[in-house]
Amino acid sequence: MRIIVERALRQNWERLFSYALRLSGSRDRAADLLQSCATKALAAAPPDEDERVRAWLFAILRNIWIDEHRRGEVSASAAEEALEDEQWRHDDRMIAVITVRQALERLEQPYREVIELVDLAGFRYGEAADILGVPVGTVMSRLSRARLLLLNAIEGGSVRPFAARQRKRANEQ
Amino acid sequence: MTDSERLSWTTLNAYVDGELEPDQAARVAAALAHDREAAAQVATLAKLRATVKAASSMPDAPPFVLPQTRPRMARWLPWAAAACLVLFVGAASLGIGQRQSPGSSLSAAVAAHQLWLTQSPPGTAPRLGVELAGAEAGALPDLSLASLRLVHLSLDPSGRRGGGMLAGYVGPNGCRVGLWIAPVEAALPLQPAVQDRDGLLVRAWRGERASYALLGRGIDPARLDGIAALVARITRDEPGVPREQVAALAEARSVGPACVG
Repeated sequence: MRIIVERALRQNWERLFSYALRLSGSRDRAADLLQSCATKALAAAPPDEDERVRAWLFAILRNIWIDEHRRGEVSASAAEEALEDEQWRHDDRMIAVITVRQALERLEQPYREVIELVDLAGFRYGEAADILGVPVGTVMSRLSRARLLLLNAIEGGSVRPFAARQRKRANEQ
Repeated sequence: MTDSERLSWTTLNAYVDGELEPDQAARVAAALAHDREAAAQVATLAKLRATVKAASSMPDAPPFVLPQTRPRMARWLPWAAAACLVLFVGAASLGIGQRQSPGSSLSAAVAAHQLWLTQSPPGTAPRLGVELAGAEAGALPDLSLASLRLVHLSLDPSGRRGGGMLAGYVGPNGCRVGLWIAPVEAALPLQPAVQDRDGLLVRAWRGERASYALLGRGIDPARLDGIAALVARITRDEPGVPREQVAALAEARSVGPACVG
């Protein structure tokens, strides 16, 4: 059992740290979270199915973080807003590394978190739901909401890719 | 399902993520062929996903270091240790140990250690029937730095030789090391000294509150010296353990021959 957990920790060490960093916003706190996660995981019995061990580690890390820092806030932060039925008006040309990076920083934590789990850590919706402790439908709506907010932030951001800025200026003239 | 439901923003997200059932995905794909705006949304989503990955470089994680987890000590052992210490201190305060000679105390230590060696291997030893609620646990030296864990406790059964207790530690390979604690004997040196006898390697010394003897059979003498130095330091309440002492313990553990005790 310990060997399975050790191997999973080793294989996901950096991604777990990235997730801890996303949750806590601080390298020191993320490192502490990671160590607490490893300690707790090594002392616990992992899931029987090997493929579930990875999500189990992320869930442990998240639960520790909630216990330590976010108790009482979670239910409020997880409240889902209805998606606005708005006119599609996004411009693909605005999507670039620099604008996305800036927009990610502006996203509220629950939305950044679901993007971290699905887009970066590569979890399926069902796995992300297990980690977050919510139904799959909530993951679907939260993720789609997160991406819409991301696009809105990209559109409204002050940093724009140079070519897009030139095109926008030309259109305005 | 209407086209608007089929091509809702949430559904398109799931489609891009490959989360739809095959038949549902096929229906979405067919509907996209006739809906330019929905197709544009899918293209945007695909680009957004790819760019999010590109924009999120993996942070430098701390080195992969797992927390050290020690084998679980039986829950009764700290209580039993505390109980034995209370009994031992009580006996010492009654002056039981004043009549003994230095050699007799070490003989008692050797006898207690040899008795322990004849008992069942560490880990299967029977539970001690001594528990004392409210006693201070963990009063015996923690020798985890020397990769030793506490597994055994015994009081000098007769008490005639001044009383004493043997704390038995076991190493990762089953090597047994006994720590004998008895009333202070002025004849013993202040620092651990060689007092080998009866086929056992023995290091004995005295502290302010008690005398100590560390015993082992077939153990590397250098390793026993290192452990004795560690115990002497711990029992003198000296803060911390010098790095070179830790290194010496590790070196003795890796270089010395396997213990047969």
